Amino acid sequence: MMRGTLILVVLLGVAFLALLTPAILSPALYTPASGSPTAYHANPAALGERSQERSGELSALMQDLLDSHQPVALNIRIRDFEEAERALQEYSLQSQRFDRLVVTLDLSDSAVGDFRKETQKNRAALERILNESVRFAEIDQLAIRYRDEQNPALLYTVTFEGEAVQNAIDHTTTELVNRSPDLIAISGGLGLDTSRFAGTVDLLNDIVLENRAIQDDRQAARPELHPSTLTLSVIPESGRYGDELRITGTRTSLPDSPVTLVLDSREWQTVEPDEAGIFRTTLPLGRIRSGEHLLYAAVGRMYSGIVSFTVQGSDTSLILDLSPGTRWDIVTCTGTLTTRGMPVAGAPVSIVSDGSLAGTATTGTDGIFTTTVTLPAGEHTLQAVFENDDFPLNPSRSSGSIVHLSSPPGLPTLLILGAVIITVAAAGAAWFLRWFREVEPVLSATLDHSWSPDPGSATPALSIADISSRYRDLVAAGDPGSGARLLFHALIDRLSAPRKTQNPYSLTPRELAARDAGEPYEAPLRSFARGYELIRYQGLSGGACDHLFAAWSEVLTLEGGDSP
Amino acid sequence: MNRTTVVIMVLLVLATITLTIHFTTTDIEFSRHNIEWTGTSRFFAALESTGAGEITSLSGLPGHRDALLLIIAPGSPYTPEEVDALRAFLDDRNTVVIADETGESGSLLEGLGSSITIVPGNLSSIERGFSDPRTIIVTPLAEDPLLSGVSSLALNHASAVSGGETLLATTIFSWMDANGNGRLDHDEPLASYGVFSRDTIGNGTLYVLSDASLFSNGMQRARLVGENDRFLGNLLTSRPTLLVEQSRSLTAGADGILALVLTVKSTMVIKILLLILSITIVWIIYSRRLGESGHT
Repeated sequence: MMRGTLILVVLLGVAFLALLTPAILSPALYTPASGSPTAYHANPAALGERSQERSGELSALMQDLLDSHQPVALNIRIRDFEEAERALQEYSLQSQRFDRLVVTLDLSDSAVGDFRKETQKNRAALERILNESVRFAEIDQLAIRYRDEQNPALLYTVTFEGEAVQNAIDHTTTELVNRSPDLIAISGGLGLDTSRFAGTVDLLNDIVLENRAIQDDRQAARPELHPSTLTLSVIPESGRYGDELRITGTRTSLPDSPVTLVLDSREWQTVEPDEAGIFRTTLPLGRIRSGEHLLYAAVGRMYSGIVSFTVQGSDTSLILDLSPGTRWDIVTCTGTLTTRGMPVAGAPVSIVSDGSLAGTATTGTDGIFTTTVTLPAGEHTLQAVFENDDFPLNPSRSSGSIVHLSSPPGLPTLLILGAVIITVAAAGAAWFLRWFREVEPVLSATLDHSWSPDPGSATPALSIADISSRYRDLVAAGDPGSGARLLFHALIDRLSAPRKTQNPYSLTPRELAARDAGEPYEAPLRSFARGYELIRYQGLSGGACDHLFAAWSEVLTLEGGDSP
Repeated sequence: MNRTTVVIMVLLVLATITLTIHFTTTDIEFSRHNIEWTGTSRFFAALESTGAGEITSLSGLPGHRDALLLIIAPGSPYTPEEVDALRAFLDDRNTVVIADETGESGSLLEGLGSSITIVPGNLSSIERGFSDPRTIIVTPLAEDPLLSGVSSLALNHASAVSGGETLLATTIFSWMDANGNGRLDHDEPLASYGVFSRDTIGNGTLYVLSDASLFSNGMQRARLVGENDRFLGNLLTSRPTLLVEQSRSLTAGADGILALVLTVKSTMVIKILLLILSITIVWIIYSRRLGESGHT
């Protein structure tokens, strides 16, 4: 029976080993993660339970963004520019929220990302249309003013400028309108209602037509300027950022006075003509908007003809480098803004973290900018963004740079650490006290408490007579302070031995007197203490030294019969 | 009985239990005998409790009326005869539900004359039940008895379906991850993809779900966002008669000794032979003992 059972057990053992053979040949620890996914599915137990249901939020935000064009355009049309500005701000806020969501959901490379780019372009276009519309309305006011002032030259200028502004609005609107089919197609594909946006496009076209009519009226009422003895020319007639335009003019048959150059209806520069009546200057194209600009010269009430020149936009390149800041949550952002291989000076650059504005910087003359941004712990994608209409430069973005920030130990960790340190310190103190209590009796028993003069003392090997002699020498040498100290140490050497004082040299004469109150030598010791203080701290000498020596001698006499 | 005997007996019992578990389970994907997360043992336990009938040969499909036949994860193409049998079954006012993400049922759907096709791929979405973008959440687009009380379903590495009447679909923020990198790329357009469609075939109704993982133990054990349990409950109770296909479905998968055991269990002749053999062995042992006791 037993033999049969044993054979069965052995057979079972062999069977189990055979079953385990595959696992033995390719050993691997099983974890849910290593067992997932298969060809058909992933193991839910191995996946983080991070459900994400944000389609509704994303869809609603995109619809809001698309509809946000309308209030801006509507308010521009009715010339309520403050309300248009507020609507544009609201648009910008929604745009930022949308940017963050797109980055969070990693949808940049998709139709949603395209929608984001298109709406960003539209926001910039609406901002330009708004700014130009404000300028267009200002020109209306200026035209009325110059007409009242009977200033035909300025009236002539603002008419020209009105044309340039109207052209700019027309150009920007045309760009937006031309892009709109793309945005409508993207939005339609994402299930958004595009009817309001399509209405906004029509509205913008209407604004352009209305402005055109106003400008045509202005042109019709434009005064004719009489030819003057002032001439002006700009060479070349167009340029880009970094170029320099040469401005030359002549002044003949006019009194010797400077010439004022007016650029875009604003006084720009005053120049002095030479003996031949020729004046020259240069216009470096730096911080000046792209587009058409108007220039004329004036001397008193005499005006040159108006010349125009064009500033063309150039592409820019932006590079961003990141380095750790002075704190764990600070990142130093350094970068360069260039155009056509040249640095761009004085340009504002924004630092965007995960789609939100994190900081700003301004480029130096070398095009380099540096700033720091403070960020929460985690992974962030940082980008530098340049976008400014004051420069004849196209917007640009650096490539995204990822930064990982780890927070320092939190308060709970610090508390735990502090508690550990305090516990260790307390344990150490307890151990020391326990050890000390254990060894103290032994030490007390072994240590000889009979005190002997400190080897460092001034008097250990000196007799009373020697001390007296040395004291007199010191007093005679004009150093009664050292003499008083010598006497005091001698007293300590002789009075402290039987009292088991641990460190008698730490006592002051006054403390020594207090300690030995009631002793036969109490009175002279007090007298010695007073004399000591007078000599040491008040610098007395002469009779005080004698008095001190007398008190010292009396103490020794009363203490043990010693006498100098 | 001494101590050694007791220990040996305990070891034998433990070994028997271990072997029983080992030989009655498998790790084949979707197998009803697979108790791991990739198996469907939990769903089949629920299915058996409803008294569902198993169909091991489609050619022998009974002419039920108002029955629902479940085909979960078909593992091989169906023959024309089987397709004809299913068409006849559908024409008999029955319902067929196919859960397939690999497209293995393509020839069957075509043979049935359905407009529904399965589009295999890495269907991904920002609307997801877990951190994996392929654990998509889908929502109903139309009403259906099978979707009663279901506001969303969580799927696991589903494919898409096209054609028929779409009953469940992803949100618009979904895409086919063509390169399988787990993220949305620019050449992967966003779109809403259907995952559950209905089609009328003859007098019957055909449903196609592009995910069989819904029935897996892993998905049933997980805490899900969608009402998956409700949907599975609807499948089990929506018709008076419930049948489950076990000829080509991966849920019938078994290998090695388990396959042998299942063959024995399912074959009457072998059962009878084994019974006769067992009785013979017992009779021989009993006769010997009687003979030994007679000698003593």
